[in-house]
Amino acid sequence: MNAPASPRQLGAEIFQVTTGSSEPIYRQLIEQLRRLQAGGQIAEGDAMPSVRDVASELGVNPMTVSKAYSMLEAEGLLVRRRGLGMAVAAQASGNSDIESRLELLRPSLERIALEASQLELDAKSVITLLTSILKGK
Amino acid sequence: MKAIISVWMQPVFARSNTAGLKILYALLAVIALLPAVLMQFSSHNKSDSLSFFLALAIGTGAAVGLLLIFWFVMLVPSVALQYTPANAGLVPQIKRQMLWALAIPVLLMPGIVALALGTHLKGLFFQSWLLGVFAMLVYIATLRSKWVFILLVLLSQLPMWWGGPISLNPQASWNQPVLLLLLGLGLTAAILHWVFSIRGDQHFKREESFTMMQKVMNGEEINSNQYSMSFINPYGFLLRLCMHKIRKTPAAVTQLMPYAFGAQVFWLTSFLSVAVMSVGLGIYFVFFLQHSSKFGEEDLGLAYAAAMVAFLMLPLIYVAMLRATMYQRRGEHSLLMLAAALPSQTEQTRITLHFLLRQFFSLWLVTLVIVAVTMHFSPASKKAAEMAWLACFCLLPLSVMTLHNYAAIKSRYETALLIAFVFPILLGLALLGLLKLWPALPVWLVCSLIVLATLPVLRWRWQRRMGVSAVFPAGRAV
Amino acid sequence: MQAQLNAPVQIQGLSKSFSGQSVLKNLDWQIAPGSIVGLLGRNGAGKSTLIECLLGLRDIDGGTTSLYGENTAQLSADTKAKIAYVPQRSDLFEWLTARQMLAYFQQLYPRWNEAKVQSLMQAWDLPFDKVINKLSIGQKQRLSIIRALAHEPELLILDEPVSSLDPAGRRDFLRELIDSVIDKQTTIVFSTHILSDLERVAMDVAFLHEGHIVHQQSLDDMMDNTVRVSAGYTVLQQLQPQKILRRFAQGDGRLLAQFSAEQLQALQSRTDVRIDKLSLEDIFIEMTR
Repeated sequence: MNAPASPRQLGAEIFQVTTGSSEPIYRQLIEQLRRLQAGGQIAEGDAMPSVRDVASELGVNPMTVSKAYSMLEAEGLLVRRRGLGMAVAAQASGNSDIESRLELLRPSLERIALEASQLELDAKSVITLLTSILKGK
Repeated sequence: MKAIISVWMQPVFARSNTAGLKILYALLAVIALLPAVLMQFSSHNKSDSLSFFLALAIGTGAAVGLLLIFWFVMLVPSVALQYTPANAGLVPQIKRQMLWALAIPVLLMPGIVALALGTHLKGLFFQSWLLGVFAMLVYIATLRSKWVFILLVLLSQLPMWWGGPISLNPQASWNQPVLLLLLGLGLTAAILHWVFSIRGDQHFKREESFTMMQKVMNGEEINSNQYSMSFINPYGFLLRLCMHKIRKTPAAVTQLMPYAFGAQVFWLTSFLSVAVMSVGLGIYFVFFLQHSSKFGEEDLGLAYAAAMVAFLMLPLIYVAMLRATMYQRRGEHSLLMLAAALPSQTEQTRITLHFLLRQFFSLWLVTLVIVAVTMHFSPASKKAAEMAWLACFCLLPLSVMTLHNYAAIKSRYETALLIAFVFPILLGLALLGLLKLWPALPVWLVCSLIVLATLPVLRWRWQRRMGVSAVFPAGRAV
Repeated sequence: MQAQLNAPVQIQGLSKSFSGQSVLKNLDWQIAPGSIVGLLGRNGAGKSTLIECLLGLRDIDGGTTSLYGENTAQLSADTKAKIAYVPQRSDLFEWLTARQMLAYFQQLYPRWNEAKVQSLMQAWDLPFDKVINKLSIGQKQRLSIIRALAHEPELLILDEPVSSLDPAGRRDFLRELIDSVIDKQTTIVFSTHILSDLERVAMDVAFLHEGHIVHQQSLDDMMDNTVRVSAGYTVLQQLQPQKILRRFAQGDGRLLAQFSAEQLQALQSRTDVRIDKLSLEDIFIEMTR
């Protein structure tokens, strides 16, 4: 995780939206930003692209972008700077990176858990399988 | 043979799919009955049943003949359209079958006509057959090149230039039936071969221009640079003038409204086209007058009558075409209804109906003036002049048709062609009968009666239209 | 939804039938100012008819329609200046050139943004002096849109405005809407089949089905909360969703409904039900079956 030294201006191309999925667009934007932050591609202090730029680039309603930004701000991932727009907020500690990344896995793991219960498999066998797959990588 | 029959059926299918079939039947019925009716009128003291049936037979024959001509006129372009290189490549026999499908009517139809008119032709069967074959071949030849039209016009002048008697010398060496027959067959083969040896998509392009022409006649497309004589189309000029006026006095913006209906609703447009054609024909006739001794007084009268008929048809065609045009412009009209600078829907309806009525009356008045002037200068008798006046005034009640309930129009095939055509004719016939019964009745009285009868009807219809909140855009109440 | 005074669009009890067949049945619809509503419905459901009735271009059999508080039969000049309509047919005024047509319309509206017209014509590469008849259908549609945007409307009603544009053209159109129109709190109503465009731009969707507006909701909320529940019939009966969007017939073990977040979590942990989140296309198909 090599974070660049000085804060930079992020462009609208950090986002990408897909239509035809079951996720509304604002949620897609939120997920993407979470991933970027957890993966370290963006760092504290980086300036977010303006709502208008993102909306124009992606061809989406600016209010959708603005909603995503507000929710990210409420989560604490973004911070509003007076006169300068949104920027990536500081994170509490190094460990939280792991925590937030694990959180990203949660939906997939929940799906696995659901499928396992539908197939009437017990937790132990599933974890064994998962471990062997992870080790194999 | 089956393939040939299917080629022949193409125009029939095409026509039977449109809603104009009823009109066609009615028109044919009228034509079939006309000679019998006229005969009754002209000599009702001599009601000979044989001659009555003869008149009926002639009328029916004329109707059938017209139908066949119509069919042939539609057959040729449809054959041309099917004969694209793509089709010919797929099914090699198509070309031969299409050639036969054309050759058979070309050879047979003039033969039948010549047989039917056998008594009149006094043994000139093969000559007239040849003439018929030639005429049909020339029409087919225009498929390949437009310039054949010019050839056609020049050829039609041949009798005039001939000078001598029309009947051909039966003893002339070239005037042998067998020779003429061979000539006819040879010409047919040669011209058909020439037309169908065209390469590429030229046939298809020709069909496109034919469809374009049909569309112009139906009022769907205007201003296609091939077929509109745009240099005499006043629409563009009038529009520019109007826009200029509006810029100076914005309050007059309602004058812009009619321009949204296209060029055809302006009487000046159709009038100018016919006027130019008539002037052209007139000059031509005058020019040839000096060259041909055969052009006698009756022919001159005929020429005048032909010109007048052209002008008399104008109000009729205008009114018939108006309904379809206003229906097709309903999209444009919708936008006008929502325009900020234009008044409310009711007011716009009033303005539009007023405009249409004005256009019709202008056209009618101009027609009246032209008929009057023509009658004044022509050598026609007083009786003929009176008939002309009567014919003009029989067109006046058509003004009622401009106040149709446009909101109730369901499709663009609801032209009023039948009514526009038949009503004046019936009215004219009825009045003729009236004059026959009371010959002392002055024609001007009859004409004024027509005017007096039309005015209240107009008023009544106007009230009806203004009674609802909006009659436009057309088709809104459906 | 409470009735708002002078809402841009307010329809109550609208009924319209064609030759005996009822197309719109006692329809109620209201659109709040500044909202961007996508009107969805099957082919032949009556979307165009609804739009024409709401603009006063068709006679209606019953009910009232009003735009900005005025009855559509008698709109004032001010209100008409606020409204723009892009009809489905783009081949209007075909005999004029683009320049002539735009000049004509310029006379019909008090406000006209000539600079915007020029910039859009250039940006979308439309010829000024070619007869409209000779343009491609995509160009004609774009010209229609320019004509509507030129007088800076507050209510923009679009009837399948981009159906003939290629994806790049549609994206350009959406961008133009976003850049110039959405900022100004313009109310936009558009009917379209192209759901991807709707997902990008619309705030609300309204479904027209069997003559009624069966559902209208914010798009994000709807996609967040709508799920298809597959289970046995007795199990389905016992569920208490917040809103049922479409109940299926007896024996059919599916339900299209909206649940609160807690309910959803509870349902997800159950094994006797299957929960599917749906894309807009799936929701559309389910709603208009």
